[in-house]
Amino acid sequence: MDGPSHIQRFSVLNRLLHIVVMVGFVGLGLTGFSLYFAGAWWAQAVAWVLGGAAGLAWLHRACAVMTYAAVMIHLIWLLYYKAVLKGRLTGPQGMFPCWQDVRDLFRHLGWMLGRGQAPRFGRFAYWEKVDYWAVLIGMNTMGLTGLVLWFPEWFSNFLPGYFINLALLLHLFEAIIAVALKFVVHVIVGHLRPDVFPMDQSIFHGRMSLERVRAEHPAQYEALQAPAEPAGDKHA
Amino acid sequence: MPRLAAIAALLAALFMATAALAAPVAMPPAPAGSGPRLCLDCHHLPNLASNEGAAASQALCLECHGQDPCIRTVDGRAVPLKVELKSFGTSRHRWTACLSCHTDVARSPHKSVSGAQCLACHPGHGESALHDPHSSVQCSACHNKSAFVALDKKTGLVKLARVDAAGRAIGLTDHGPNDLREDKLCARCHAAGNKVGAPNAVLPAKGAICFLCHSASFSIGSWWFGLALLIFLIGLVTGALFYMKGSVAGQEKSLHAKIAAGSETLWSALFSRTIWETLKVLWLDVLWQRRLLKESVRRWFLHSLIYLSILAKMGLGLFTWLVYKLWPASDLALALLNKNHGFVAVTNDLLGLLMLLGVLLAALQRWVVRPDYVVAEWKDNIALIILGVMILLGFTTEAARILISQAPAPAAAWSFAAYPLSRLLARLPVDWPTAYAWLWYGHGLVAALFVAYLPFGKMRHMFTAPLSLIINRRLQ
Amino acid sequence: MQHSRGHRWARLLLALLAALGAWLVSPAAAQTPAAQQSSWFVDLARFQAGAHGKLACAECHPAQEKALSPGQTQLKHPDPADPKYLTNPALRAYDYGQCQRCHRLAWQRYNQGAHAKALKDKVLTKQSRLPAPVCADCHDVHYARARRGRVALGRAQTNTCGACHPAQAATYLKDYHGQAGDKLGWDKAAFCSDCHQAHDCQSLKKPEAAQAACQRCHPQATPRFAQYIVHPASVDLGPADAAKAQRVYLLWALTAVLAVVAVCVVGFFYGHTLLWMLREIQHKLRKH
Repeated sequence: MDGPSHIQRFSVLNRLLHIVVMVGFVGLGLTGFSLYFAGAWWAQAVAWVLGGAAGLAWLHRACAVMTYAAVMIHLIWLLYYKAVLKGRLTGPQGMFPCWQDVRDLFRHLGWMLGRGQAPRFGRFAYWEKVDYWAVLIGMNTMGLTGLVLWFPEWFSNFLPGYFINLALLLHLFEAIIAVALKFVVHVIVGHLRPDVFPMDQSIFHGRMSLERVRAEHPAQYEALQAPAEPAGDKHA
Repeated sequence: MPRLAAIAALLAALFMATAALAAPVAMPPAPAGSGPRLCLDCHHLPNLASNEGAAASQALCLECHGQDPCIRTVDGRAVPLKVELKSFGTSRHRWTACLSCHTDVARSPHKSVSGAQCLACHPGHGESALHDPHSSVQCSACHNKSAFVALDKKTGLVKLARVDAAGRAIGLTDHGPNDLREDKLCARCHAAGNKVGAPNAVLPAKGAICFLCHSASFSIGSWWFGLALLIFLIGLVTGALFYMKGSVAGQEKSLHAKIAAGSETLWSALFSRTIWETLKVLWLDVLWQRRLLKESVRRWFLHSLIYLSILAKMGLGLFTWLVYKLWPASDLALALLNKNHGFVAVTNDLLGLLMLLGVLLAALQRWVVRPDYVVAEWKDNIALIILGVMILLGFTTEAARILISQAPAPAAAWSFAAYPLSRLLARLPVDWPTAYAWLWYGHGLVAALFVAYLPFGKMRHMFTAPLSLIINRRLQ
Repeated sequence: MQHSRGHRWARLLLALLAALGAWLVSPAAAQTPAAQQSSWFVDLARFQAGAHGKLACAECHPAQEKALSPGQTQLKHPDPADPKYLTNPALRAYDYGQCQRCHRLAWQRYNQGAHAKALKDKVLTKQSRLPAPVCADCHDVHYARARRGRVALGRAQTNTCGACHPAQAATYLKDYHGQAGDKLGWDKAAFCSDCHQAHDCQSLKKPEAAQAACQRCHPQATPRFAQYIVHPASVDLGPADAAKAQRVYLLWALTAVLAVVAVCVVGFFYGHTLLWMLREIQHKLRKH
């Protein structure tokens, strides 16, 4: 065994941003739903702890700013890193969706239903891309409707007033979908899969064992093993 | 000197206080500026919890309602409103303030909206004495002597009728207790051609076997439920005896020795560290069917559609029973007993549909797809057919219940499968109050058959599989 | 022809979606009007703890008091021989002119307001068929306490006003104002009277009136801002409110669409995760 036993999967910046987004997202969900379902006993309890409606509203905005700042920092760094340092945005190592992902989805579904082999995923599998893009796009749309609700006076300089109602409705349903997916699917995938139970820690320490790379990201593993590929010496 | 004066003053004060306490209380405190007769002579709120208050309340009401021409005119008909104290008989209500029950009548306009408040003192009936639809029947509809009932379309409540069959106005002032042992009583509603949405027959209460899917009571319910339970128990005992026939570790022993060895093993298993091992087997292999999943995801899925849905329905039924036993008057108990409640209706319909899907897929597997590993024994087929018929009859009964109880769409539509079915059934030229009774008996009979068949047919694996799993684990 | 048919289908679809949405946002529960009824009895303990606890009966009921004095001939106390004796609502028969002896400003405002006008025009409420309220319909005169906090008063308003305006109360409670104010007790949020005034009870259907109401808390409120719909309910909307009715339908239809989308998206991913987990667990089990 002359090679390293682990690869670097997530950079320090992305690990840090994940923690910020994680905390911010939980805070947003907690305060937001406590405001919307304010009549429920649990919402009253949360409001009592966090300083009533005023406290909830302040924390919601604070979490929103924090989370959105993390998304922005990530985007700016990503563009700088990809466009300036590497010169291209797409590629097998990246998060950019491609046709292979759609094919992977159908092959994966087929495998779940007992037909055929599991697809050989690259560095980021399709569900990881869905998770990533859902947050990236969702945070921007949530941010937009959220801003309308935060500064309704300014927005109604050029939007009719009932757009505030529309913004609230979109904000609510997107929040329900986001929480229903992130708090359940993302948590199950990150904790309850037999391979990672009780917890997939790679997003916190950034490393992933080559064994797991071979099992879960075989396409990436092959690329790493092929001696000619430049991706292989990245971790040397 | 000042000290003496102080003591004297204190003594005087004490004496005056005692005198004041001893003096009879003549009048409530009078506000300033009142004349010789005080407003509050009549208008102060009596303490209804005291004997004086109850007597004062009765005296006030009987001032008019004890007089002879005490009538109310409804649609040109005179309704007698005279209350005879004799009619109370030996009932405790004789010594209760009128206003304790008729809480909203002492006012102008002199008219009740809420009616008598029975539930303020008496807890309501549970599932055993009362099927859920009875929660929309007012107490007086059964407990009053008047035999005429009507459905109030506005509130959906079954109440005492204001007019008899001939259209004459009824005075409902008879406060005597009704003899509820009479069979005729139920026929007020449960008769052919009734207009209150009751089935055409008096149906038995749900028995213990109904806990499989419904909230019920730990009683027999009806003789054929009892028979089913008996056959079920006989089957279990026979099965257990079959286990006893074998030799233990190669040694033939007498029956009592086997029982002794068995109980010894059970005892040592319960109070040893291996109990965790056993619990783990129960959790993973029995509840989550680990071994089946290892074999095939498809089979696990099919099996779980039926098995986990029944388990969930049983859990909800037992939970409802428990909540009702602990807090019979709580909102939670009332909500869980109410079949039209959003949560209960959606849960029941969803779990029923999942079970039905499981049965259909299993039937497809058995009779159409027929993979190699499926051995379609007739015993399996019977179990599957009984289950399917039971679920289908269950949905039809539920739809018929919605149909005859005339529940309005916003309340009944939570039963998202049974409500559309009830709209379909409404188009059939069938006398639904009669059909409902047949459907109910049909569903109950198939369910009884299902329970009785459990220890004999394929479904026996419910008991044998966990047992052998645990024994195997212990033998390892 | 083709165009108009397509148009009709679109409208039908919109109406269906609106119906589903209206069901989802659960229309105002038709609560029984909780307007206070005049009991024959006064609970002295509660009366004396109330705002009017120091007043003698005669200060508000002078005629009845006189009727009790010996030697008087003209009976003013309700007469049991009167055929309307039992059916007359005492609450409405009372001479509320007595109130203005102390509450002059409230009395003046009430008389300028919509309730007084509706009372004069004999308009009944749409759902519960009640006449417009007089003082005691809203104020629990015998027992109401003085100097209650802003939030306690505001919450009482939701119940009191909501007894005759249930759809408005229900929509207010789903609005941010109601969630923060009534449910979470934030005293800076708006309660009924903060927008509609108490005794004047303004309708805010006119854009200028609505904008003025908004500006009391949102000084920068523009006429467009005032188009925000606090009460998305279709009751009490006349032919003049067609624009609002359309927007309410739009909101309901959007609710239905979003609910269907949410159920589909979440359902797909939950099913995906369930299947995936089952297959992975099976693989794990088979390895052992």
